Amino acid sequence: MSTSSSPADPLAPQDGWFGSFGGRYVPETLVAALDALAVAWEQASQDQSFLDDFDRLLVHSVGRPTPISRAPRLTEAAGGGEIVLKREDLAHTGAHKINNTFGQVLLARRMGKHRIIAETGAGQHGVATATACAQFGMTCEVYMGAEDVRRQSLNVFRMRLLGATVHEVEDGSRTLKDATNAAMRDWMGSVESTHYILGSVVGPHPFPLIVRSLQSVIGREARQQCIDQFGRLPDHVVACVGGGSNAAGIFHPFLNDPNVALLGVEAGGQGDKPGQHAAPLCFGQPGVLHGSRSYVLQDQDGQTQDVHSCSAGLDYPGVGPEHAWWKELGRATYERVDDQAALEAFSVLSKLEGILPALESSHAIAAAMRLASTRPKDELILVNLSGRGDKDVLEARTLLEQ
Amino acid sequence: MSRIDDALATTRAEGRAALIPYITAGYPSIAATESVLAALPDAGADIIEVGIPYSDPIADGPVIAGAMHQALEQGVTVDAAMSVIERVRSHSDVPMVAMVSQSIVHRRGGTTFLQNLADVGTDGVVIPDADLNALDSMADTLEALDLACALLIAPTTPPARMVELAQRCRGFVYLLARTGLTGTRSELPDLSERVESLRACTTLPIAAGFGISTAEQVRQATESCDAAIVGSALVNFMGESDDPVAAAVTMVESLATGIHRS
Repeated sequence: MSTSSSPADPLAPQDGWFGSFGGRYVPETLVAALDALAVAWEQASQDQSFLDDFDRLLVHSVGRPTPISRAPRLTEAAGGGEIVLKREDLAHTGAHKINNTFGQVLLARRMGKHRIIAETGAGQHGVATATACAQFGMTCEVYMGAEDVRRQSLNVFRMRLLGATVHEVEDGSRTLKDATNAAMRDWMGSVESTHYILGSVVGPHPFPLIVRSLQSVIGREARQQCIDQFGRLPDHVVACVGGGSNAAGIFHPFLNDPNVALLGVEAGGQGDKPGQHAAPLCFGQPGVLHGSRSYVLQDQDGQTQDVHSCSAGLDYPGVGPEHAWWKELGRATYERVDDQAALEAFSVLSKLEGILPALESSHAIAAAMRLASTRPKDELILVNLSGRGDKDVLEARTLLEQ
Repeated sequence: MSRIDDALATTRAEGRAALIPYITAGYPSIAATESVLAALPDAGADIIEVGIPYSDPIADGPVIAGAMHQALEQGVTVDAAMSVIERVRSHSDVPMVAMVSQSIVHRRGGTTFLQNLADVGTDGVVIPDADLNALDSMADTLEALDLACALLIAPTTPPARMVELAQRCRGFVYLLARTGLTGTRSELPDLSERVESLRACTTLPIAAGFGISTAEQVRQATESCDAAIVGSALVNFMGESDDPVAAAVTMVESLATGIHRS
């Protein structure tokens, strides 16, 4: 696992900064805890016994490696380049989120902290956190926006079954942004006994680095699987971006493969006007939110704008600072897929491949089909199918019937 | 010499601590804010902290976060908050410190924001979530504009960092009375040891805040500190009253009775 690459690597972060993005914009109360976390992570990531423990969990509890699957009928429908799916939907609990939570629970245990808090949007990170906490006998409290509690009621029930306490957040837009505020506020008062498991590559340093490092297992596996099964690297890697953890996880191991194009897909929602989408890399500008500097959807006063996506996991006005940097460097490109196209992809992948994708991942599927249609048949397009869609069937039924 | 230096030198010369009430600009209304800013000096406020509403304040508890959300829903902009300060400054010498989130400062390009603050007659700024690199890049501007800038010192701040933070403060130092958020609490921890170690690294006045809500807690805090900051309790009291201006005056008069006098 690489945490801090050599200074010679132009794509390696320095002291918590990804170029001019990242940093640590938090109240002083949290600084000591973030320093301690950065030191603990630095040590753990170089400690073979920690890495072995993590690998064992990934194999025996998460079910890794997840396969890559050809998608011949989807490829044929798109008409062009070949689409291959990285099956994070087959990981335990049904999404990539579990890679991060097992790693961070191990880290918390190492730091002697036994109470865990987390924020969640779609509920996948909350379920994954509750799962890891159940396995390790840790106290787990999850903050979730009231609107997301409504949209993802099954995941709320799952978290409670797993022994977690779910706090409904009624502030602001009552979605992931507000759940993140609430979790940070909890941590302000509980920092000495509690570890905060952030679910995405956002927040103050060292969270973006830790989460990306733990999620990079996705890209490392996929890169090797492409070599083993196709004898070559993919030409394109496509992933959806909310906060950006599944995308960062699959992109990072390909960063130094200059012929592999990286495409992040944001939530286009219902239109291009403020409030209609959740696409900060497409429409936002650099700003400060939730402890780091990155692209943010905000008004001229720096107030966070309302966002919209049919997918609770992408319904977030900010994005990880490393993505902002990759965008600025031109190493990755970012586009958007709207609600309707995502819903169509949700149905198409189900019908053509027998795979129900998460609404989040459906954005990546839609973008991959669009891309494939413009590329020759000998090009390989690797898509991160970051989660399964069982959690979305009720919401999808409502939306599809409209 | 800035109004803040003046005020804290005066209270020190009078052998007493200072009282710093906090209010959220535009809560419950811009008109109320303007009247409260005008009325509080006579009620016992030595300096007033004015919070600029932000959509996602992570250091604030439910009372102040709620006040900010309500102000924003009523359409209170950063310019509206600045205009209130400007109007009060036109007829009052009360020292005013803006409490503002980094997102707002950053959006106006950092130094431009500070210039705007100084132009309307603000005397200082507290940016509770500033990154040290961001603060350092604004240090020359703060000095040129003679703006006070208080950094937060937390119970979790280790000694070496305390020195670093204290050295960057201008005007006064903001001592967080406890971990956790702004808001009303029952017990105030003993601050004397932390104040003593802070005095070893700065000669600036020390103001304690976060969770100070009663005259008794003002008394406890100002036994060792040079000033007490009261926010949530005041904002809450104003919000619950039909006459927020009168409520603010009444409460500040009561809090002022707790001020320690030597």
